[in-house]
Amino acid sequence: MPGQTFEIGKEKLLGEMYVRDLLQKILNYSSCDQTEVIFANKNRCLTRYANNAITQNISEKETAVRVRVISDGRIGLSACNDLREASLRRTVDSAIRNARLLGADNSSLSLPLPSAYGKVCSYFANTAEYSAASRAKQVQIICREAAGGGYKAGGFFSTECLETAVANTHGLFAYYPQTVAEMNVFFTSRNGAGFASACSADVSTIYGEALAKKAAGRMARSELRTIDPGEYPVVLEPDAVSEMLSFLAAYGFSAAAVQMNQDSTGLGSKCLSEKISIWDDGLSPEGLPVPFDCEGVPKQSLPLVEKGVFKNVVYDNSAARQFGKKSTGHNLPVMSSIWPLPPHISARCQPTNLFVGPGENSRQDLIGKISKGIVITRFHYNRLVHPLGTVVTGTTRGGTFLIENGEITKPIYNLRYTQSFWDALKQVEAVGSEPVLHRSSFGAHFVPALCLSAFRFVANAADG
Amino acid sequence: MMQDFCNRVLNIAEIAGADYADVRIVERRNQTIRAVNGRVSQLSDTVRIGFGVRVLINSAWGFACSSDVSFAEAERVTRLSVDIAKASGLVVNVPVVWPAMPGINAAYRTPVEVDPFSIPAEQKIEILLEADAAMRKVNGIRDTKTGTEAFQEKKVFASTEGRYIEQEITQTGGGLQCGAAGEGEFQQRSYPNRFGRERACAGWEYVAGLDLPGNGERIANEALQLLAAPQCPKGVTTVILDGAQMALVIHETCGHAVELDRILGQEIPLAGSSFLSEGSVGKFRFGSEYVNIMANATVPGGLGTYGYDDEGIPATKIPLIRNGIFVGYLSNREDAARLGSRPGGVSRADGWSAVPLARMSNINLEPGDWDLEALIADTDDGIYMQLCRSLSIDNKRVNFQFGSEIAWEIKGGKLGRVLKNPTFTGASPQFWASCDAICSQKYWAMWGTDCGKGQPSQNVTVGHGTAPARFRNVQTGVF
Repeated sequence: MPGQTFEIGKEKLLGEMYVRDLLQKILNYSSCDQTEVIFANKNRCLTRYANNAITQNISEKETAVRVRVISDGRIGLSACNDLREASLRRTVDSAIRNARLLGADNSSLSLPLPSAYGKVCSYFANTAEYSAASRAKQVQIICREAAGGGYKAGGFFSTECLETAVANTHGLFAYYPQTVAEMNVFFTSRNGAGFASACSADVSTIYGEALAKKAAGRMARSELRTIDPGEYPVVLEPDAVSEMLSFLAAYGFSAAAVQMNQDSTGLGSKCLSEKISIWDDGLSPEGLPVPFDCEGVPKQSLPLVEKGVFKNVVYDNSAARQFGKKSTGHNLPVMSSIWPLPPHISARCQPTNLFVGPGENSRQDLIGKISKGIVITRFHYNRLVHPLGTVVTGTTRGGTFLIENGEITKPIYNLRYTQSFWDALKQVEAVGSEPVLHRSSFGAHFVPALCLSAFRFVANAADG
Repeated sequence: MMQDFCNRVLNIAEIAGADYADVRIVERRNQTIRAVNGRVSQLSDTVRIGFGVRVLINSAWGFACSSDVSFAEAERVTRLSVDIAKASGLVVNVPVVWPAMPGINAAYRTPVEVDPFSIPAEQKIEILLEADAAMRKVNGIRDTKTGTEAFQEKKVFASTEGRYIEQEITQTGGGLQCGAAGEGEFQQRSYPNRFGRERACAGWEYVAGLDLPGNGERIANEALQLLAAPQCPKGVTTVILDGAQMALVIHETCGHAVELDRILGQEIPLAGSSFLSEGSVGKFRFGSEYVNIMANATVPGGLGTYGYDDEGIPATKIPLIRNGIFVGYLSNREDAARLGSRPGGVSRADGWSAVPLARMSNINLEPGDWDLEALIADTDDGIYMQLCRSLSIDNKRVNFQFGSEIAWEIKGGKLGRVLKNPTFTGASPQFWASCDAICSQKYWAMWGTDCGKGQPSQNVTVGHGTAPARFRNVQTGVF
């Protein structure tokens, strides 16, 4: 099958058989009632550039395991990246020792049972084997395009190969390889900036020249203007929509959000614009497919918002036990869960493969609906202000334009917004027809542009 | 053995044609204990080791790394870093200036009274549960979190210039957080810093000194007060910011703004640039005459304290702002050489798998001479804000918005009612120009934070020493 070559012994992939044997060996070191091992083999290559030149060019390889044991209702964790036997035994012993120190949990957690997983096409050998020279050539094309237009180019081009597996003492074993290629292009000039990005499991679908032209197309052709802060209708380009979804994933769609007194968001009721439908689907080939979460629970399509009705939040095993539900398979992706997550990552389970249902409007159709408003290419430095309503602040960036009478008329200086993203979903007037794939912190989003009737800007910000 | 490993790497690099090469071997150990709602929810130990090789060939850099610290992998990774450097050479337009440094053999260790890994986990858990109980004693608190952490990094640096450095960095930390909810509102209070977490380059003696159980009831009561408190009013007023809030203001408006790689445009695509430029040194008025800010990687206990940076340069002090004027950059070796200045010893990498970048160490606001009580008494109308809850700043480090956990109204020189959701916004140079008072050494303390930068994203820990300070004509109540 095209794109599905698993070559055992190749530098990048260890292979399913090797990983299965390794994880079984680790499970055998444990004497606990229940033991789980998560495995990740990461090969990441990234070329970074700025001022039309390569500034960093790296190759990173790490193989790591996390062991979780459950003994008499007590959970212990340990992790390491040294896969020699002595280190693995020490890691298992450490997890057992840690479990014994915890207080017992009376509603005992049970690890998932073996499952069947959906078939995904997530690995492309050409991405895994993509060379530093090839990445440099693409960056060269981008920089030449920038220089030709009198711009400076910066950004990055990365190719990754990741092998993930979960095994536990109930006989569960889940394995899949994945590749991700991602390209960011950021042009700057005296008159501001233009941004474009792309990601795919298949690097052959990403073209530096095309993205460079897209970034150039967003460059201001005249001097930037200042407009007064206030509430404006906006067109959010797909990059901006994706960034908004990342916050909603953590603070709106996770079980932890329910716990944080989210009654006002109206789970189960029609509380958002009927134009908006959002779902999570780890199996969809239009995203970056992931067949299971890092407890080995199978991924499936789960509606979160259906024509404005807030349908579901997501659970992992632990949250499901707490709320009396079933796991929806949303324990955070492997490499984030092997190492203790920093405390500000409050939602340990959240949707990671988000889709927004496309509409029938072209980009021009969306802009045409607005008599005075703003086109936002992307956001910058977004941070949570208050979890209730997912109130976030940040600035616009990478191409911000004034709409007047249904047309883009002027490039404008960036603006700072402070906006409830939950309220933003209530203001969706129209949805774009062309979704685009974006890498997110823990997965990927496949989203179109959105037209919102109101978005709150509180101050002017810098250009660029 | 580590020295043999390093020598093997550097030898391969030189034979392959490297003009310069360095190698870092880093082993990190983390222990995290967290308690949530009265029970220990996480007790984890992680150990990570790996090495990274950086080479410079004809003004182009290559970097490769691996978690497999073996001689066979050393050969593969080093040759890969050379190949990558040669590929980078396709898109280079500025020659790298790299003045040679003399060889040294050195070592550094964080001064520690009590090794945090020597304290039994049971003893740490007892303190956490005692602190948790102190918070839960207050009726109306819905969730509680406590935690401690211990971190140790052993690293070796070696370069083709004959620099060989071994370091052992220890960090210890702890904290509390509680949440109260009711009538459509949710509020949290933390101690000693945001996310219920503060750390220092120190041993267990640091956590013992925090007195976590002794602060539980106070923050729980404050969380409840916040539920019932009025919203921070919208207006232009005087604000006094406590040390924990000041730390993040310094971080965002000064620390990042003076990073030379940002000023030279190398970080534009992700984090942005700066309102400062190459010609700003000695000329740009950053703030009022009261403002003096120093980068100091040698402060005892600072979260950004170390012996040598990740290019083998000794930790040092760099004046950044003197009497309000911008006087110094944070730079790596390469960019410092471009400007004809000495490297500042602030080139830092997140472990073995990242390239070093110009980073903050400890960025400290020098104390003034005010007593906090006298400063409040001197303020007729204003708001005293405590502990940063949210922060955001634009791509040139100008327009910012901060939110604090709690605030108190100041009327007629006295602290009054509690205000919830306090926020303030402004533009960095105008904001610092409005600073008219800084509290004295008596109120000066080191605060710490994580700092993200670069692609792939990397994290280093940095410190900010500061006392509370007052600012005039500040826009508040954005949210």
